Amino acid sequence: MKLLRAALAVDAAGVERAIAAFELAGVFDSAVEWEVGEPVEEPSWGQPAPLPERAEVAAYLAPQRWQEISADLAAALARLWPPNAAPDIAVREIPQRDWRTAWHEHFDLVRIPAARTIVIRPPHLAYEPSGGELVIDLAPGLAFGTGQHQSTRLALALLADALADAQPPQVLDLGTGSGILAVAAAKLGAPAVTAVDIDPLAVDAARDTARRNRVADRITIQRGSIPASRRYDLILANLTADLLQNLASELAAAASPGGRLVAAGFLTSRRAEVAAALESAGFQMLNTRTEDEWCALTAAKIPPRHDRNLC
Amino acid sequence: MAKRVRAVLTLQLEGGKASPAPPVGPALGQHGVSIMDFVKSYNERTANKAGEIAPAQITIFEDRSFSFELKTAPASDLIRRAAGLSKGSAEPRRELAGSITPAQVREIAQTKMPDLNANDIEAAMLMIAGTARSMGVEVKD
Repeated sequence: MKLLRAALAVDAAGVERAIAAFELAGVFDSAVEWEVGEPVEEPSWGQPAPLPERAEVAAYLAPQRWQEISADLAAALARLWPPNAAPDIAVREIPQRDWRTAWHEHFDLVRIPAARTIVIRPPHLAYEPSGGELVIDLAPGLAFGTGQHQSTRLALALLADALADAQPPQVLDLGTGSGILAVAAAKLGAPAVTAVDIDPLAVDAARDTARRNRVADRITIQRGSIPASRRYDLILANLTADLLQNLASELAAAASPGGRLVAAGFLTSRRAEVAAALESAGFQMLNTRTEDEWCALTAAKIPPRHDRNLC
Repeated sequence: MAKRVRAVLTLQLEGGKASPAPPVGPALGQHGVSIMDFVKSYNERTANKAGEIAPAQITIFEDRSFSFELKTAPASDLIRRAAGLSKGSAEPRRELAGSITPAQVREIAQTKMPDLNANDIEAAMLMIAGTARSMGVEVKD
């Protein structure tokens, strides 16, 4: 069956009027599709990016239904806008499909080469690992960290490298999102992982990921920021450039002497400032990885002078 | 996590009744979002809003994960309900016949202030009253 998309291109001030026009024509389930353009950074959690200045207000209708309402929509537009100022109605056909599974085509297996190759498997695909590959089962949804983004892949690669020659007793995943890094750490052998996020939806998503991968018994997942009670031998922080700089001192305080930090979520253009903030907080840079414009790094907490094994 | 926004959508949906059918399916499907995850979460959060339009503003991130927040009902919906006009069937009506009071206009303007491009409550009231009149709803005591 065909489906038509009838859309009105308006500025932000015209969005409510466009919704009203559809309502007057008997369509109560319009969709406002904002023109974001280039991807924009979310200012911080709980503070959505400001809405763009333009949008398309669209209705998805069967051809018969469109026939029934098109004249009424045109009449409503004429009432709601000054003469000759109403937006045009753009109509195009879109393919009908099973929308419940349409997202599958965007989620293929993700393979991350590292000291141990990691494969991220979405629920609709089967996969048999070979040659020591580590498979992480992940259902993408309401939390960041699906494996589709460079910062997640970079953090996973540095994590696999960090765990290749050491098994840190205590791991912290700060801003766990989907829980993918915490689960990878547990599946790579870390005996105790603490995963925290200030977003309650992320906490639920991380618990789901831990269950899917049968490592829930080794991961403590809780809402919040850096726990004050313990020091960690490996800290995973896939955050943002600003957060990493703001939290540098707290990250250093939470790291055990000689402990490692895997930091990701910043662009290569901001690598120098992130590294400088971490170095001044007491970290020493060990390694960086990049993919496209994104960057991640591994650093070690420099032990205080009296802890160092000096002759 | 490093969240960059690739799309923002505001869907007018009836509380507790989202489904993969349009508009949810095609609007979210074009961005590769797990639609059933949205439908389940939306219906859970709006179960107490049956019969009302409870718009969801959905932010889709670069890795196709998403978040959403509930917004106030469209001005047209608030006006219609203040005038005591039922949605009824989806019969097209070029204009409604009814009236709302200036006090109701102020109340709607206050409700909608966070979502309107208005500098103050007076400007928001003018916008609401204008929309009401255009819909065929009079503003009178």
